Amino acid sequence: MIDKQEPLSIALPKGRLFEQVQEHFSERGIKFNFEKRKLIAVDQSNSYKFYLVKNSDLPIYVHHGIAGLGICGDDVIYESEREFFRLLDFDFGGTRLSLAGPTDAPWPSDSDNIAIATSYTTMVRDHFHSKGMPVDIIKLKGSVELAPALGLSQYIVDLVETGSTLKANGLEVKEDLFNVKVRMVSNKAYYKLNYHRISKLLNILKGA
Amino acid sequence: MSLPNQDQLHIPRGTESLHLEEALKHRNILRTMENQVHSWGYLPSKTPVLDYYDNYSEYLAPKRKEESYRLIDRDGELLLLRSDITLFLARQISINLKDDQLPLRTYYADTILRYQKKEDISHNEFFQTGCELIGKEGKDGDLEILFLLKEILDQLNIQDYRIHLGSKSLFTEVFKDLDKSQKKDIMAALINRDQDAMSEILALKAKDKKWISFIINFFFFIGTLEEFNNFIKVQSSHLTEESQKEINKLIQLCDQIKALDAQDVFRIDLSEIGNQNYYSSLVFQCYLPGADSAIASGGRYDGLISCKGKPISSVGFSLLLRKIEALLPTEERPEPLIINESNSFSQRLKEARILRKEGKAVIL
Repeated sequence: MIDKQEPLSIALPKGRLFEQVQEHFSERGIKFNFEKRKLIAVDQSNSYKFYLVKNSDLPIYVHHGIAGLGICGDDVIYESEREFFRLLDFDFGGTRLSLAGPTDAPWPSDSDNIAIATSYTTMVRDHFHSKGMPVDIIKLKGSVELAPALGLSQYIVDLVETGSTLKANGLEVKEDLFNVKVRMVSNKAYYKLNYHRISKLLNILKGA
Repeated sequence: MSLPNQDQLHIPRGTESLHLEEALKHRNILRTMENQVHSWGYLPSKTPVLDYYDNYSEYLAPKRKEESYRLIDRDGELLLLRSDITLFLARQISINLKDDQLPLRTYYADTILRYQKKEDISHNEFFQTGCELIGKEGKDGDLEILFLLKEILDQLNIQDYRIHLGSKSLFTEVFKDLDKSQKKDIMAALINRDQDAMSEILALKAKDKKWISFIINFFFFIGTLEEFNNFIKVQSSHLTEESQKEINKLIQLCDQIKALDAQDVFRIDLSEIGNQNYYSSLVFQCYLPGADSAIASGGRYDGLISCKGKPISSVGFSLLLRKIEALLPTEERPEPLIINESNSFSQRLKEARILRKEGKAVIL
């Protein structure tokens, strides 16, 4: 793990974000590919080893130092409730975490105890508690837009890009809670022992 | 004892049990550490497992507060289970310390209880050892503690560790004009090495972009002692006289470390500002390949220990021994000999005594 010649280990999230990360690295000369069904890859220069992991598991791998570095959204970092070094923001993959409700529903007043369905329970709790608003949080793992239509909750909190899914389900954004950026994070001990090589990587990724 | 219910097969979070070979390894490592500190003139201390929470609340960093177990005794008093031995030791010593005992050299080795998430399988914050040098001000005290830590790690044959040195007093001096809330935000940004967040917070206070850029480069510096010397030569014109004094203390420490030919294991890291509220000047953390977080941390603290109401400057470190143990090889242990069971007990006992005198382990 120390500044020797073991490749730097980087966890990458499966899914849509992966392709953007791969392209960003490739444009800066770091080229790698995962062979069919394989979840570990090394770049052409043997300087970086990549692990392909489920988005929500990524913080666990970095927290334990299995992967020294990781790339994921603020939402995943926040929900993991773990501390990492936040080394770099990327200019792709950014989105908003927003509160949405039926288009004809009034915006809840401060005194209302509202029910919110969401996958982002920690962010929602902290946001509303910091405003002094009590909320009932219902944890769902996906398709949260269904919750108001089926009467589970009046409001939802979810990541919103274009808003088209909300619109299709009769919902609209009532408030943006967080701007979510995609970041490179690091296990703290790993960074301290490999800061030279990690700084070099950051400069490459920034295009400096 | 009957088997527990299925939902009680695990033990409560934040504690552990050790058995047989693993327990033996733990004791052997602890013995090596204790032999080393005894040879430096440090004597052991034992602290209570429980103490009154109010005595510690102002010294507990938010994260440590979250990790600490609290409970209420039968008289309704709020108690704290031992989560940081340095704090418990400081209070015990303050109660009993006499002028003629200074400087006092003591060490501890005991279990601590910190809440940990059930999936934090490798956190290993169950056992804390450490040394405290109480009532010795200045560079010599700092060096004694740093080199004691180094020699313990060397004695344990630990390879490739690095001790990162920083300065809480430098941070305090540079940001002395900020209010408490701004200082807290800056600390959080620095602890997370979040340059964007730090830049945004500083921009609220200062308009000079060059100054903001300098401050970020300065506090994000990590390098060898030589690299630090070169870095400071270029940067020192931006610093106030008081900040320069704090830097000079670090430079003098570096000079001594270099003179002792130990520069390879030390790094200057100005983002190290202490993981506890009570640190006041020198702070350090030790990192080891394979460990998920720092294995040791320490520094100088001025307000924690007092003698008859007068604060005593002290310096010390704590070492999370179980983090190291997981990375050290298990020593090969010769199997105990088994005496011929057909002999009588008295014959076997006599034979075993002879073999044990020869240093062998014998099972009767």
